[in-house]
This record gives sequence, structure tokens and C-alpha cells, in this order.
Amino acid sequence: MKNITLGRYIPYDTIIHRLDPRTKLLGLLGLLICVFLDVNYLGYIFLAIVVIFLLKLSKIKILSIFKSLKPMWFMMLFLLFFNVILIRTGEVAFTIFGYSIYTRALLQTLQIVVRLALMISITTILTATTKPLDLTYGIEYFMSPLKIIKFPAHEIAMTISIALRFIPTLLEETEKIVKAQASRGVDLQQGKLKEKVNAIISLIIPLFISSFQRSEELANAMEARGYNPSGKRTRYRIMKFTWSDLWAIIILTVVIVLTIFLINNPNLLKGVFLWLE
Amino acid sequence: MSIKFHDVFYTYLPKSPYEHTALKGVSFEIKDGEFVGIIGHTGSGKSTLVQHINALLLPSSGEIEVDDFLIAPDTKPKGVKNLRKKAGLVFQFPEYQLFEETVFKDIAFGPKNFGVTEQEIRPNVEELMKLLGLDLNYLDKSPFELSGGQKRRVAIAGILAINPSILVLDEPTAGLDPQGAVDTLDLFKKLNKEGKTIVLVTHEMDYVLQYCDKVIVLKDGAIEAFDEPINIFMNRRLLERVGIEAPLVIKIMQQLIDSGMKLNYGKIRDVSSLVEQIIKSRGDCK
Ligand SMILES: Nc1ncnc2c1ncn2[C@@H]1O[C@H](COP(=O)(O)OP(=O)(O)OP(=O)(O)O)[C@@H](O)[C@H]1O
Ligand SMILES: [Mg+2]
Repeated sequence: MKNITLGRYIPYDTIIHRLDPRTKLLGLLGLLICVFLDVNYLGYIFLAIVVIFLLKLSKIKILSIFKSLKPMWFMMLFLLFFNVILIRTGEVAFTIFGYSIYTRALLQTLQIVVRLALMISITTILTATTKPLDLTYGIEYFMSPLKIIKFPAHEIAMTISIALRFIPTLLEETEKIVKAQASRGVDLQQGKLKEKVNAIISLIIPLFISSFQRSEELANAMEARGYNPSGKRTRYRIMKFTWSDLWAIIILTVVIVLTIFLINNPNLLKGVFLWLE
Repeated sequence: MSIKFHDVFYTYLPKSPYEHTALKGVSFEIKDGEFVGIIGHTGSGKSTLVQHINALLLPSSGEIEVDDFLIAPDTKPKGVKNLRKKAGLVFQFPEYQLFEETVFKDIAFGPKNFGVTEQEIRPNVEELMKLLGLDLNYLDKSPFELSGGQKRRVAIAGILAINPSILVLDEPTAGLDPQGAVDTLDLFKKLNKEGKTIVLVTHEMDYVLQYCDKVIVLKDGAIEAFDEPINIFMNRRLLERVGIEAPLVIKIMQQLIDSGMKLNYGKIRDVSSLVEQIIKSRGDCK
């Protein structure tokens, strides 16, 4: 429970941490679009290099993130397996147990894996280097033009920031309840299916009840302090756009342009390598 | 059922920026049948320490012996379920753990997990409810309809129903009404007299003086003292160092002694025993 690194802010002080949340949000969006464009393998190699470089810069240990995804591996493998055996276009790559596996299936599955890995890494860079509150300020900023059409930008940002704020609390609470029930002989790992179902019920009900209680308490506390969602408010921390943000955006633009360029001119990178040699 | 800690260290979230070593080389032995208090400033590691006793936390290094069970780093001890049947832990704010439809079912949940059927446990549950001052009408009510104090009692009953030989209580009386707190502690004392080993974490020094045979004083994850309550509370320098206030009874007694009265302080545990000693020392004047 405690080892969940996915989506958690990691308090280092790197260049990436110091960037404006708005820059990082734009960057995330740009890179994600690149990942989902149908780039060829050169494009993926290029994107992977960029992402690995960013991970290094922000001091994130990517292996620990994939380790923390362990519970999802089974499902992933399951899906990939079906992907491999069900796609039946392209040439036959090899035959196993009298069943032919097609090249297209292999390539497409590989593409899914790479895309997922890149996607997880990119979002982790954002969440690990940006405090949840700063993140919501960023989101609110980009949504605020919509206020003209009565879109509740502030309310949505507030809701998101409360939700983010409560993730660690919920995890802590879950851990506490797991321990309390373990002391009453609940065993989450072993036991028959029926026992396991009971064990899960003994966790979920208290968790629900305490979450409802908490949200009610929070709502009351906010009301008691006169919170008014449509009120005009000042902010404790002011977002500042700095020179490094400008550089980050320039570099990112170059990366994105290069990626798109690579799609259309797959030989470009090869040319560069040859030229370097 | 003795409890032995051998040089136990515990680190939360190791190798992360949030790393925090909450226990730093803790060693002690609690003998069978003792009533031991654990005190210390908030954050000193009391809750962390007691969660090692039933292997909810495994030490980062060092080891713990509870009867025949050996709790060591990395792997859960064999038969951890049996260990948890023998060593029951009541958490700080245990009302979190309630979830069943009725109070009876919730109290019977623990025993059921250890293989005792609801019918078998029924008489015990009723007995426990009486002992904890809960009306039997509540048996078939939902635990969520109860008041905070009643919930607390149901949660405590849920652990007592397992009938563990070691009972670990993490601030069981925080938030209970004064009478309820005393009643609950009297119950623990009674169970202790019947042979159970009791470990009580608390911030209430009066209870420590009144109920405990011995006290462990924790400071920043290390043991600062392990002695009888009266010796701890008479040691003003120690109290100052760990930031604990002596019970009122002790303060009064110390002032009486400072002003020249001769008191046999080894016997003083509460107001009535203090008064008794005062009367004794004044006996000559009567
Ligand atoms: N789940 C956790 N993750 C990280 N650190 C923790 C965790 N639980 C406790 N700690 C830290 O370990 C230290 C000891 O905590 P512990 O809960 O044992 O204190 P305590 O003596 O029981 O305090 P209190 O009297 O307030 O209950 C504290 O500094 C706390 O911040
Ligand atoms: Mg505690």
C-alpha cells in the first residue's frame, strides 16, 4: 500500500520541478499527442530517448513505477496475449502448436506496449514533479477562458484538487483498516473465494463510511468558513512564467516538430546518423 | 506468553524521500501476566512499536519473540494467524473497523475468522457486552446507529471476543467519558488478574500510575526508561527530558515530601492510597 509511487508527488528540487505547472501541462499534452500519432519505429525511439532524458532530469526511478503496477501486469499480459493471437493480417511470422502468428499482430502488440510505457512515464513525470495544488491551478488557468460561457472552471478545479488531496488520506485509511481487520483474523492473501469476498467486504464498508463522513465534515468546515464557489479570491502562490519555461516550450516544440517530421520523412534520422559517422 | 524485542529498528518508506526511522534499536522484555504501559510524546513511536507484536509490521532489522513465534525482517512468521489469535490488538480509534449489519455479528466476526461459530460465541458476546456496559438491546442493532463511545466499546469487545492471551491496547480510552474510561480499564485489570498479559499505550499518566506494573518510556523511537511507574514519575529529570507531566497525585505527594512530610511513596497509586499514607504518617499526632 505504502509503495504506491504511481501518480504521487515526489519532493525533489529539479529543473523540471521548478517549471511552471502550465508549461508542464502543455508539455504533457504535446508529448501525449506525439505518442498517439502513428509514428514509425524511428519516431518511437526518438520519443523514448526524450522521455528517458526527462525521467533522468526529474530523478524518477522508472523501474519502481513499473514495479508498482504489478497488480495490473496480469491483465496486461492477458490482453496482449489475445492481441497476438487474434490479429490475423500481414504475413505469417511463425507457427506454434499449429497456430500461425502474424507479423502484423506482433508489431501492433509491440506498439501498444511501447505506447503504454511512454504514456505512463509521461504522466508520471507530470504528477511526480508537480504538487497537486499547482496542477489544479494550471488546469484552472487553461479552463478559465471557458468561464465566458458559464463553464464552472473554478469549481471543477476545486473538486479536482480536493479529490487529489484525499488520495493519500484514503490510502492511509485503507492501510489502517486492513491492519485492524488483519488483527481480527482477516487474511487477504490466503483462503477460499468466499473468505476472500468477505475479507474485501470488511474493508470496503468501513472505507466507504469513513469517506462519506470525511466529505461531510469537509463540506461543513468549508461552509463554516464561508466558502462561496463563485466568490472572487486571491491566491497564496502565484504562478510565474520564467526563462526556463520559455526554453522548455521551445525545446518541446522542436521535439514535437521533429516527431511529426519523422513520420513523413522516415529516412531523416538515418541520414543524420550517417552524417554523424 | 512473554514478549521480547531484540534491537528492533523500523523504517517507514525506506529509500524514498519520505523515509522515516520510527524505531531505533528497541530492546525489552515483557513477562507473562504483566500489565505494562507505554508512554511517550506524540510521534515517539508507540503505535509503531505495538504493531510489531502481532506482526502487522515486520522489523527492518532485529527480531521479536512472542511466545514461540519469531518475528523477523522480510518474511511473515509461520502461522501468523495463530499469532494474531494469541495477541489481540485494539487500535487507536478502533471504531473504524466496524462493518457488519448488527453489533452481535461484528463482535463475532473475529472469533468466526478463527473458526468459532456464531452460536458458540453467543454467550461470550453477551457477557462481554455486559462487562463493557453495553445494553443487550443493542445486539441486533446496526453498529452505525451507536454513539462514538458505544462504537468504541463494540470494537473493543470485537477483539476481546477472540480471547487472546496478550492484549495490546493503543489508547483505548481516548475520547471515552471518564466513567467509561475507568470501567474499561478496570475490565482490563480484571482480565490481567485472570492471567492475560496487557500492553497499554496511553497519554493518561493517572491510569499508568494506577494500573500498570511497569512502564516503557519512548523518546524519538528509542527506549528512555523501563521501570515501575512510581520510579518513573519520581524522576523529575527524566520527565522533563521526555516532555511528560507527572500525575496530580504524584505532584501533591512531592510537595508534601518537599515540605518535610515522611511518606512511604512506594505504595501510592491514586488519591485514596495517597490519603491513606498521609493519615498513616500523621497517625502519631492524632
Ligand atoms: N504510515 C506511516 N508512514 C510514514 N511515517 C509514519 C507512518 N506512521 C507513523 N509514521 C511516523 O513514525 C513516527 C512514529 O509514529 P507513531 O504512530 O508510532 O507515533 P505514536 O507514538 O503512536 O504517536 P501518537 O501518540 O500521536 O499516537 C511519527 O514521526 C510518524 O510521523
Ligand atoms: Mg499512536
